[in-house]
Amino acid sequence: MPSSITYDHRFAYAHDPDGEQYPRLSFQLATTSEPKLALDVDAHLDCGAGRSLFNGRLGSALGLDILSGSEITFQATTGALLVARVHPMRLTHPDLGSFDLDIAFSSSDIHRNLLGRDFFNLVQIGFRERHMMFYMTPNP
Amino acid sequence: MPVLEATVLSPMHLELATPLSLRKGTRVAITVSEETTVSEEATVSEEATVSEETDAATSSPKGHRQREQAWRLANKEVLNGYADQWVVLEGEEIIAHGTEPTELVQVARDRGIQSPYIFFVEPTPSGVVKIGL
Repeated sequence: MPSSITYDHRFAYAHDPDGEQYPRLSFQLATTSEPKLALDVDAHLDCGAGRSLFNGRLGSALGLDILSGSEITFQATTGALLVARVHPMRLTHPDLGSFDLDIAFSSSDIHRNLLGRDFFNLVQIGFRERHMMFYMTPNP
Repeated sequence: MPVLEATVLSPMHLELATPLSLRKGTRVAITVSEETTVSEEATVSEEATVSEETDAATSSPKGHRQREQAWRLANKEVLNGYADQWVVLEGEEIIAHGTEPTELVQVARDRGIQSPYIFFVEPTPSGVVKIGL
């Protein structure tokens, strides 16, 4: 049966330094307790990530005591384990609005921040790889 | 509606729907309205064979920190010089770079940047395909 989905916003994939384009979103990241102490950051949209994972150094730069968060362990596709700490955060985007989301901050360095399926639960999202575009609607 | 006053515009800046015949020195009133893209809806249908090319060609991709994204795209070689470092970028200016984001963010805040844009510059080895984690 044919079906259709309407999206409110569209975004172009962003270029990484290697010249490749990826579905990457830029937004403002802050703690829910100090929303004015914010950083603007990027994160790759990753439907293969069960939860959102950010570099712990960003959390520290926001004034978080990373180790005070509850522990969570991620498993990479190689089977390697990565320990992170979860903190309640607020993501704000000029077009999409604000989202409160528990973000896991890595205890070791990672190169890319990932917005995972917990974020996808807050938006309707579609990809058009051929056109290097992704589409989003908040509050699906 | 915002009003722009006492501004000199050359014909190169204007694209008129109807050509005007004006003598040199003639004063004209111009109303400038902001073009909105919010009303632009993108519809994707499983049954649709509608023109993907048209859709892509007429869209205005949006995003946060567009100015910085454009700079990053135009200055990939410059950024490669900061591989394995964090960079704070404001407009076209690198505010700070280094290995410790907390220090870089403080530099930016000291310069009055409330919400610094910070990102990590990944090294770019050739022949490597990236995955999420």
